[in-house]
Amino acid sequence: MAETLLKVEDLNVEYVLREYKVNAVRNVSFYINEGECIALVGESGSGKSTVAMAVMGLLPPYAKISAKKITFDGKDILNADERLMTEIRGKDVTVIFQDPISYLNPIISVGEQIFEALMAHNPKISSNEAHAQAIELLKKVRIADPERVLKMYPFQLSGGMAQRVFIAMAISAKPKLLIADEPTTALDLTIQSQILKLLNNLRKEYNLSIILITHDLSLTSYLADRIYVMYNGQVVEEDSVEGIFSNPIHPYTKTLILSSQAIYLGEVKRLREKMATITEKVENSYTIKGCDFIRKCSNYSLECEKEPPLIECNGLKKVRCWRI
Amino acid sequence: MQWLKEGSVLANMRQTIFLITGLKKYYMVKTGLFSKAYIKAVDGVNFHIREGETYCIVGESGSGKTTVTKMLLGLEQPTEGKIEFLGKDLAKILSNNSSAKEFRKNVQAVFQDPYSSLNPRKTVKDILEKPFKVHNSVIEEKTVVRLLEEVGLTPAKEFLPRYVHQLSGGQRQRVCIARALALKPKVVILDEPTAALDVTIKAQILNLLIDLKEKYNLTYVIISHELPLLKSIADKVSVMYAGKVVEEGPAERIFNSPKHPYTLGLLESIPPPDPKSAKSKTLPTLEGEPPSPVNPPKGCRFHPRCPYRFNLCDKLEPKEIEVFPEHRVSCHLLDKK
Repeated sequence: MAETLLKVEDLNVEYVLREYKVNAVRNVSFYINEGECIALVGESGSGKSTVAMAVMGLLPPYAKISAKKITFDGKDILNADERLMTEIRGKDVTVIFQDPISYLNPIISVGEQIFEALMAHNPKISSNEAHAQAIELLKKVRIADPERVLKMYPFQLSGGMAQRVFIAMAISAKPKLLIADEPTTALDLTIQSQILKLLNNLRKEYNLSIILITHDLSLTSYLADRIYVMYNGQVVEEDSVEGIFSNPIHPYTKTLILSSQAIYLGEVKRLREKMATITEKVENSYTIKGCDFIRKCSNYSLECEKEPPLIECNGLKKVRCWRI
Repeated sequence: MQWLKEGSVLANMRQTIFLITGLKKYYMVKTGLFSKAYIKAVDGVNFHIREGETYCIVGESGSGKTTVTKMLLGLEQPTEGKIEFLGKDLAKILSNNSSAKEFRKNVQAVFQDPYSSLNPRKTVKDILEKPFKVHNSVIEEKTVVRLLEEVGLTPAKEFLPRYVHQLSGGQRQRVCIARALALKPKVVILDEPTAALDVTIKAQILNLLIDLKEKYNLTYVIISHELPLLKSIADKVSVMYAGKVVEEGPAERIFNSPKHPYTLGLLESIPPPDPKSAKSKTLPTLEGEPPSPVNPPKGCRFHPRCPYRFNLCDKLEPKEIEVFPEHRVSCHLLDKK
């Protein structure tokens, strides 16, 4: 039985700007086992990236985080001091982003940036050794000509190459958890499948746990074991990948799956009839009370005006919906 | 096979909107004080776009598809080759002010990023009234309201006074589409119309585009790297790779019996939204990266990545072969000689 690596209970994140308060994440609980891949799926603004950044402790100061418990590898990281977090961040937990080129320093060569990552976690490393390790890392992420790439600058890399370099830096300290925030959104189709494969190989090789954050449900069927579907800051449904696809219950999950399948099969025209039973357009000025999905749902009743809890169903499945 | 030929004759009877022959666009880059190189963004492509058709150009980034759109819109001058719009040379149309205005009225565009293609200081009403002002037409609020209803932004009255930042991504793209339709164009050129949107919104926008096309008999030129999206809407598809068209044909041929190894690889790498399918376990990939546009590979430009390459591929550029009426492929594998 694999051990639980990260456990988050009742995470709330509130962005407090001058006159606004935004509840970006509400009561999100999830866990990830060693060597497992979970996916946080949701549309933009659903809070999926905020969850990951909150765990990493990388949110801006105006974000207020509260939770019942966040433990990583048995350590409490909710109340951890900055020193412990710095130790964990980059070493045990690393993150890769959607747009790798903008996260690489444009005026420093790729090689030096990788050396920097290596030295941050092993200050005594010699330059020869760092060089050898960097080459090794670039080979791991399947860059064909590592010597040449080390001398290149980020602007000379293609999107796919930059993401590989970024992954190389992320795995340089042999992390336990990799957070992949939309890792392939900016990439072309053929490069996307290459990167997904690479992530899967690394996962097997290092027994790496991966949190995949994406808006594209189709990516999860290859990589993920379990899925958390997020809507408006909450988890609305969670289950195994098979469970989500074969038996979606929450109306939002249903629309998500129907849309991706219709696009995949080229049947977008027929989607409307199918969707009509789940969602219908409701006036824009409707004030939200109770369930978040109420103004898009066609199957609502009186009880939907109370906020639904996450209801446990068979197996792993949990759904935030009264009408199940 | 007589019936097939007749079918293509019928297709030929529809009016030609754009006829593009031998189109090239090279950008010069300085590589040193006295040396220079050329980025061959588009390197000799032909397109034949007919009335009422949804013509899709697919390719990875750097394949030259956006450069083609820019030239179609007259925003870039071709280095070589010719674009004809309704039988007239586009360069000539654009050299005369009144005919250029007429062209712009007939050919409208929708761009990828609805966040940057709308003026943040204008309200939706201002944005939609602008095309009428530019073309000195009468503006009636009725027309603007109808436009909004047409693209599904209802109640329209509520949207008119809003600024762009008060709209979601999908709503913004709807405003862009409404603006493009304002002057009743013949052709709408859409450059990655859904790339920045969420999956559920993508499907909605696609449906909207399909509806509008049927209603107004529009001709679409859609440029996209998202192959699966085009399945629902395309009539014809052109696959571009490194500045060249490698395969062109009716959509159902391209999706159901692709002939070029690159098209095949592209279709294979689409992850299926179904964990039970065999493909989602193996996820076939096409190895390698697209080549540099400055120094494309000799012979067939795809040969370094092609799993089926043989000794001819790196020496000779493949000729275009018609494997089926209207379905053309540039690949040595199909050359029977």
